[in-house]
Amino acid sequence: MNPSAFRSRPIRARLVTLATIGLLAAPAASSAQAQSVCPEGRTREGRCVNATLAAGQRLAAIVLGQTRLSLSIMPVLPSRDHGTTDPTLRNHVGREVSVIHP
Amino acid sequence: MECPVPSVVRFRLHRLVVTPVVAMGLLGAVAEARAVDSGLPAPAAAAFQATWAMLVDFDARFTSWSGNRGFPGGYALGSPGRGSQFYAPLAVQIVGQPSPDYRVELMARTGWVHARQDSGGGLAGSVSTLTDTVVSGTFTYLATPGWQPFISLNANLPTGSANLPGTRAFSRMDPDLVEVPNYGEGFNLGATMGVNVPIGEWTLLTASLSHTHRGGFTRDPVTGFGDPDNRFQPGASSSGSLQIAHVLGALLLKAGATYIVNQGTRIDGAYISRMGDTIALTASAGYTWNTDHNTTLSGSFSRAAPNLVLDPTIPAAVREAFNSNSQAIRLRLDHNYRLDAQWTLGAFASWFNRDANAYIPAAGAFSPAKTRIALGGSARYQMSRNAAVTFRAEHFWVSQRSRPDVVDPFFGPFADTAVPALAYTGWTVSLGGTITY
Repeated sequence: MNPSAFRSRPIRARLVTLATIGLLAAPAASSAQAQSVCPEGRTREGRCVNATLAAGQRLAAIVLGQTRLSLSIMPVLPSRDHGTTDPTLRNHVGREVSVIHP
Repeated sequence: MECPVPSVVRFRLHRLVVTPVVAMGLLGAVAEARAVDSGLPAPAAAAFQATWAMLVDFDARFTSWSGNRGFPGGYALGSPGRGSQFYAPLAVQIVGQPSPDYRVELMARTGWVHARQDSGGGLAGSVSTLTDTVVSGTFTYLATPGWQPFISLNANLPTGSANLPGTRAFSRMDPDLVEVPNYGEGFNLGATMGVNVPIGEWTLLTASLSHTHRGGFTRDPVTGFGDPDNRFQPGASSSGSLQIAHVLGALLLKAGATYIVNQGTRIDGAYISRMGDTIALTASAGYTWNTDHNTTLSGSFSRAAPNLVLDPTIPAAVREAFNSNSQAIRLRLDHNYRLDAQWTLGAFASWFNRDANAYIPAAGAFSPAKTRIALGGSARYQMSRNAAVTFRAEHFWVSQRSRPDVVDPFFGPFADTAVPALAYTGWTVSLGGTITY
């Protein structure tokens, strides 16, 4: 917008122009935020979901739900075994592991 | 021609227009500040770029244990007890976000294990084998605000050794003493469908349903030397899980409940038993004292209903008279200390208890109470931006209560079936590394 031309316009027209600019800026700002990427999606309010929390809860759902996938191996990285292994979910292991009685 | 506007009026009109425009700018700044305060990432640039990362994770662990009896503990001549296990798992993971609307995670994990038991009375045997291999794929849909569903498919590929003929069978050890108590099973396929539901900015609810199909496999005989191998057909398992996590300032609270329904297990086609429905509860509280110190207290509990066992006199599956399953509880305390940008030290302590089952001590199906205590520490070194090494050491103590001779209601007591109090001690050390590409 040409500053000189803007200043020459009537006051009412300038006020309308400024308000219009403000209104146009608001959806543009929202659009910019909407276009940003959240690694684990968004809340209903549009904010990014806590990525670490979401990934951890999803992995826990898989581990808790598939305790019979393997007697010894969980579907997690080896470095996470120590913090993920839960002996209270392995009560069945002793029943299924048996040896020949001499 | 426009009438001149008094200067005071011009100033008031100016404020009426400028104020909302300025306010919108301030609101945007406040929102960003809240995002920063909450630890949420600031909005990225508008143009989306697909991201992929590959991670290689390796860990080598050695466990050594000793006690007054070997495994199985009911064998009176198996004294003293002694054993060791070297286990080296390796995994490759690929994580990507090829679109802003979904996320993909793929993983393959296998390992190698060498185990040995050198207990008295002939309870001696060893095995060196590849373990089973687990492959995993998870797809998460991110396009819907407030609702992020996911589906995960996992498979256990039978690359290990389920059949251990001869004395190799004695390399199977107590799962409370070693991490890998068995060295192979059949093809198992597990699926989980779930959804993350963020409630506001600080709470996350996760609900999921899972099912695991377990394939049959041939193993060494469960009866005795010289008998034919057995075809083991474990039962499938289905479960439902509900979890919640809440961030309260520096405190992170989590809780979860899982209900598991199992199908019957067969050996050579004959029905053996079906484990009772199981309820498992978990909870944890983590507190971040400052940027360097973090403490987490976690607990878990499980209880299974009485099993369905075969009554040969009918014949049919009936609910057992007493619950042969023990309740289990575990408490664990972890503390991490970030020494500097490269080093992070950790310490942990855990207490695990499996109570006596519901049978009387003189019954053949009685299982006495058992406790495991562990103390340990770790040191993690961040070698570079994408590589880290972790060393961990742990000492543990396991104790099991005694039980008297078995007494049959018709035939009376069976001599030498009593089991004294069992006590074990051992240690585990591990060295692992993670590289991200």
